[in-house]
Amino acid sequence: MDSLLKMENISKEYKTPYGRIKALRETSLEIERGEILGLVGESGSGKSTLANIIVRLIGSDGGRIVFNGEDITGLSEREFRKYRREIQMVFQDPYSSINPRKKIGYLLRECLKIHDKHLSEDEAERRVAESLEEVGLDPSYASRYPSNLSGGQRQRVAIALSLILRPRLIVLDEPVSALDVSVEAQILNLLMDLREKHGLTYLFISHDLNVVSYMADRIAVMYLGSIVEIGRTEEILGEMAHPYTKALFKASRDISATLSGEIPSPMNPPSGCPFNTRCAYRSERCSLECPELRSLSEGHLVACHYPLGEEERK
Amino acid sequence: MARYLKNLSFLIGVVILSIMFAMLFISFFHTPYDVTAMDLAHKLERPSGEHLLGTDQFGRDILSRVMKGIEVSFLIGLTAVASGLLLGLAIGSVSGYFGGKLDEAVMKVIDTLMAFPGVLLAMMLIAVFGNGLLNTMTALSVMAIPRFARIARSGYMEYRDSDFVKAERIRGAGSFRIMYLHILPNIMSELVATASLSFASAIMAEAGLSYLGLGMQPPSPSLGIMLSEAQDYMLRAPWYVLIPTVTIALLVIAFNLIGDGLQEVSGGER
Amino acid sequence: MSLLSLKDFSISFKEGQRVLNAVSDIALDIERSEMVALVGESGCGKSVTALSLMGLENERAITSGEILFEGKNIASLSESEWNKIRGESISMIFQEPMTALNPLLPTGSQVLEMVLTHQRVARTEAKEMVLDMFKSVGLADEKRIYKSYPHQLSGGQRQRIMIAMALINNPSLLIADEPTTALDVTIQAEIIELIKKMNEEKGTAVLLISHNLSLVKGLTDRSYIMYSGRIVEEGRSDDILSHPIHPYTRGLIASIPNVKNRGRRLYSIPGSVPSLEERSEQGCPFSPRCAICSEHCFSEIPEKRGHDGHTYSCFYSESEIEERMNG
Repeated sequence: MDSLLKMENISKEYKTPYGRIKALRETSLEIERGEILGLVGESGSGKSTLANIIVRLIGSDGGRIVFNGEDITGLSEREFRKYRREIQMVFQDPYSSINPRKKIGYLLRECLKIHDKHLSEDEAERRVAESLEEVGLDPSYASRYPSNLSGGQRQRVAIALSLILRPRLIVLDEPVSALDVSVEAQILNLLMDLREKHGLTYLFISHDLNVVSYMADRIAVMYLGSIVEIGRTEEILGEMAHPYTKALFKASRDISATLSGEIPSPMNPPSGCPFNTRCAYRSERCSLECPELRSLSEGHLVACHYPLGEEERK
Repeated sequence: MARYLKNLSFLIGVVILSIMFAMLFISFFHTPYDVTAMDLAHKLERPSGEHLLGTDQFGRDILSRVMKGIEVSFLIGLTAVASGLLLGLAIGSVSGYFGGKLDEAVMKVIDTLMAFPGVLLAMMLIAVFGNGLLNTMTALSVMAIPRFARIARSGYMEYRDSDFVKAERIRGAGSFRIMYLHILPNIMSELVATASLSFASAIMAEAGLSYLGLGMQPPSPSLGIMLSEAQDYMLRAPWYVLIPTVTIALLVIAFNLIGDGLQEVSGGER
Repeated sequence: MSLLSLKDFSISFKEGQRVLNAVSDIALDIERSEMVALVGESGCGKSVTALSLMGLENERAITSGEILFEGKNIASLSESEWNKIRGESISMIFQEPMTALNPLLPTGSQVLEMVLTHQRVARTEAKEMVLDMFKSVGLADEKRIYKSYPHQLSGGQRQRIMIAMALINNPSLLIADEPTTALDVTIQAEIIELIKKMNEEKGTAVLLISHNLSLVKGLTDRSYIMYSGRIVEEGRSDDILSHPIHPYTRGLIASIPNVKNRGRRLYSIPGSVPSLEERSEQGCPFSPRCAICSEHCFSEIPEKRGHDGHTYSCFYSESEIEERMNG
């Protein structure tokens, strides 16, 4: 497996006035070169924390991060600078993620200038126009302000802004959740085309399981700061092994309630398996012992003592 | 701009200010009489064709003195606001953007400064360093800093966690770039509105200090000095008191109206 | 007689010299105990319509046409008459429950207030009613929740409080404006089941405002598809969603990503929803984005056609649309 990003035993704790929140509990995740890895989970599952650690908006408390074969774990902001252009992010809300007071062209040129101080004006101009065309916008949009654009057009601009640095990995944090249905399809198609063209790798975070099932090559499911199941999309959908994965997908497919209660507070997580309080299949062992992520078949891992369908697998 | 002009208070403020500005501009090249030239034969005359606003107790032309007085007010207002804005922004931006212990310490100092009535603070500074134009300006500048620092700080705190700032960080933009190229334009309208309001308070404070004899010294034509001198002749020459009073009031009202207008219009944007 | 019916209902806004039409001549009926969906993308006019059903439209809004509620025209009521209807006969739940609750009051007393305003009951009796209601909307620990402030509750619990507040006076119509958009999938499912349960037990009619087609299909009996201020298709929800006729509805359904169209390009409707200012008042509202339109689509507004309660507004018949879209 040729991994682009490898995260090993990442943990992250937040201190709040009410106590400590364990946002990530020794989470490991590998993103393969050229794949789309879907990351799903409810709010509070730690998926945003994971994304923020990958793009280094926040640091991790422990663990190791290897990007493109190089250990980038303890790098200072200055040392990390050269990796900045390689790892980009697109945010959910295209209204808040673009500076409203600057022209689109200015923002794009700024991006280039940060990383290449000797770039000529002509070259910058050419690349700005090119990147706008690449996301399906006319180069004349460079002289517009974000306020003149629709939500879909803004998200195209946000994609252009992350793309102009020629990154290897783009973290897409709910990139279509704020968009209209008819625009959502346009943006998803665009993301697919760009990946094809530039050989990009995506970490696709979404709460919309339909979108994730459509986009992702592999899916990782998070619950209370840990990954509880990961595998190829077909496998996850066909033979979901974790009761939580099953509940999540069933809830979205039939819109029927499948889980009782709410996600426990990360400040006060249950002992043993984090999911045991809501699990329909729980036994005594589950509240005592936290299951490790283990392999069910090639590349399909689950953190459950009694994975669903284990009998048939044997 | 058109949106701003639709705002009534902004429009009125601009009209008053334009008139004041015109007087200021003319005073650079020409005043009807020399501002310090005494003419004891014509003291305390009512407004007439010769002296449009009358003369004072030394026979000096009041119109000329008001014109120069406006100049002093503007000069002091401008320096106080400019230095208050720059220093306040520098302090507030660093404090708000980086937060933490530094922010706590800085805010303690700013709060202490704010707890003092501004004029009292200025009086203290003048008591230490002596009076005169330069010291008055310094005192009023120090007085203006906390207000800008607070506004800048809250703006930077609001935007430091915004998505577009995060996006810039991910793209590799340094703190300086983010603070002054990206966040500053977003809080500029608030700072400008504050500048206008600060301008008004600086003019008031200067007049107040000069009236108390702590600011500019006679025979400089400060509106505050004129007011203090005029009060002895309140009954004999009421226009003499009225003219500097109305001028100060108009200046202060104009800047306040503009400041309010700016806040209303940019507030409605959000 | 329908519980609610809109007849030739329009809402417009005056912007300088121009009059912008947000909603144009829509007709909509809701029977007693019926679950009806108003579907559309943002800016299609569904939320303004919902607000005007509560008499909460923007003060600059100009409305025309009729809103018949239980046979009585409520389009031109005074504020005090509206207060009687609001919360008592028609109530509403919003997308973000946090903004609709007062952060400074315990949730229980906010719901209690609703009872005391509209019903003649003693305080203790009213409190009993609130606690009962909390229990029936699935708030298990009702006594604690009664005393809790909104920020102490989760998003799902807050939405349950909103539903309790909306239903406490037994309204005959509940308007649910994107009630689950801000919630996680698992919680979303629970809220939907709750709305379903309330409809079955109390016979409350529901008008669901949503852009989420799978939600609409799972919950409602009939749907109205809105585009650019007009209703372009209406009929039984399962019928519309499995056999859409209007090119817009077709496009909308075809563009939903799911595991079945993996690896294939998604169908997408070109362009984007026009803003209020960009709308053209001539011709079919969908014509600028329509794949099959012809010249007269730009000049005339198509009439409603169709049969068996499944109607759509297009110049082409079902088979013609089919042919043109595939050809």
